[in-house]
Amino acid sequence: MTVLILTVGLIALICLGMPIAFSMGLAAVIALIVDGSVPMLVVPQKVYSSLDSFPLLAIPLFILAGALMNVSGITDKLVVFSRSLVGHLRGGLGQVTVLTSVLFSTISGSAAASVAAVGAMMIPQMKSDGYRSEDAAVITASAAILGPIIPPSVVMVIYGSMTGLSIGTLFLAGVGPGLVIAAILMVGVYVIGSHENITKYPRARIGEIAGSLFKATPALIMPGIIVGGIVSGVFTTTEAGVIAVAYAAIYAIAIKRTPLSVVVANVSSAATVSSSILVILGGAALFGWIVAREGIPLMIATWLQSVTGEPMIAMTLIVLVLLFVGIFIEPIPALIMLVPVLQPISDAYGFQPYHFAMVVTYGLLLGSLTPPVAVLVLIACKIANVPATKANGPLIPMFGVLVLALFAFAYIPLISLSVPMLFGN
Amino acid sequence: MQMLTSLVGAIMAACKALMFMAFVAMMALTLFQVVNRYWIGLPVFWTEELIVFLLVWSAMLGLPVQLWEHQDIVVEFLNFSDERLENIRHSIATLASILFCVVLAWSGWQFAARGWNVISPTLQISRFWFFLPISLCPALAILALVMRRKSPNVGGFE
Repeated sequence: MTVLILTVGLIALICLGMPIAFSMGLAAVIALIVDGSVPMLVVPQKVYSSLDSFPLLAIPLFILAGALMNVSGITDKLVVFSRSLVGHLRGGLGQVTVLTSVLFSTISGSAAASVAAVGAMMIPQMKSDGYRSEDAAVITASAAILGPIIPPSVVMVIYGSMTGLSIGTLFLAGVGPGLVIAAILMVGVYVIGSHENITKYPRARIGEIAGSLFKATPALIMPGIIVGGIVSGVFTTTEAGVIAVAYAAIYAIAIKRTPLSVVVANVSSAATVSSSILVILGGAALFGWIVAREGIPLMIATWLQSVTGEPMIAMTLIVLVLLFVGIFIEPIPALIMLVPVLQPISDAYGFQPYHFAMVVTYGLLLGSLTPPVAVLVLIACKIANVPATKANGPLIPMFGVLVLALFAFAYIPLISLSVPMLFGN
Repeated sequence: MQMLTSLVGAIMAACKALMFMAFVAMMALTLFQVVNRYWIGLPVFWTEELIVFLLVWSAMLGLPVQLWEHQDIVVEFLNFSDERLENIRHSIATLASILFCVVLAWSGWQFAARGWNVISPTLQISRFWFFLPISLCPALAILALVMRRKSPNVGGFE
């Protein structure tokens, strides 16, 4: 009965347009009232315990650090550096967009920030270089998915906070898949570039590359501070976040003379966004507690094992569920809702937890590219000034290739685990 | 009515300002922790407890602010073209949200009251102050839900 109330209640409340945090909370409250054996005090207790966590402070810090670097004009330096490296390849500025997104991902943990920052710079230039608007939008949106995969990553901080996995190791586990996705996207751009009449750039001389590298250095140092600091044990994840913010603030205010009002607006925005995430975590904590109390993950795991004892088939089913959920719900809320259910299933099948974390994260992130809540595509189309429906044509093959990459990550744990293993984790 | 809306607007602005100050204080304290560990060496064991205290306040103060500014995260499955149906859907969603906030504010108050005689280990203040936002902020969220203007939702992070 409780399972039915939780499931039907949650779906009904979300469909009604109630905030996701409240939907999970109210479904849980109704289940508690019907059950009758647990006092209502558990409601505030679970909400409080979900917020009583120092590592969660890293979420707004990584958002803020990337935003400050962006307003200080670092993105154009990354574009110039990327163009000197890959601008001569077939696809020209499309290749530059992918590489810029990789570099931008190392200073920002958010895909939305990446598509807005890189898209605003690259999409108009790509259009003037011969790209169709919809192709430019799709390439930029697809490349932005690297934001939460390549460290630092807001999504990984949430995943680590919910499961107790090391956030530093989760960051490292994102490097391999991030590079594979980038390589796949560059091949995709190469194919698009062979069909279209797109401007090619001459190969840059060593002096040009060195000059652009020097100008982009302030941005390239940041991942070293964050990942290096965490992996070497110099900082905790949260401390690495605040060091990154301090570094970005000094660069923005002292070196680039960014107005203080812009910095303050970004701090305020980061605080509000982090509150949105934390409030959902509060609702999810209550919901997740009842789900666990009712033994729902164990029931699903037992049922799944009775259907198939084969881990690869179970993984395939999980990947399909992730893709399905991602169609309807944004990645972060979906992650918060699914992790308490999926983690015990992963344990039952003996999946390596960091490998499984990457599959779940990337699987849900792909939802940012699928209608009706294809947030990244919508932002990119808005910048490209093209209707989102026109992007579906070029999006389908690109999405198909990215889904194949998801299955590759699911079946080949080494893609995720090779970098953590290199660092002895 | 206009005056009441302005009053609620002022309360929400105050919440936003407090959230901002708590956030800046958290960053400053975390930075101080690092600087202190490597260069100063003062016994500042109270910082982490204060940061968590501020984090809970900052996150919960954001709840009424998000609702007031329509930055709460919703999934827009049902959008009726018929205005009457759309109004009904919106009213049910708002009423259900208020119901949850009432439950959280009421049970949160009982939870906070239980912590009155419990003293935090490093800050040496009553745990009541740690738990208070779990009750106070949903109460403010009810005000935001009742008084906010109807407008499209702009929430989202990915």
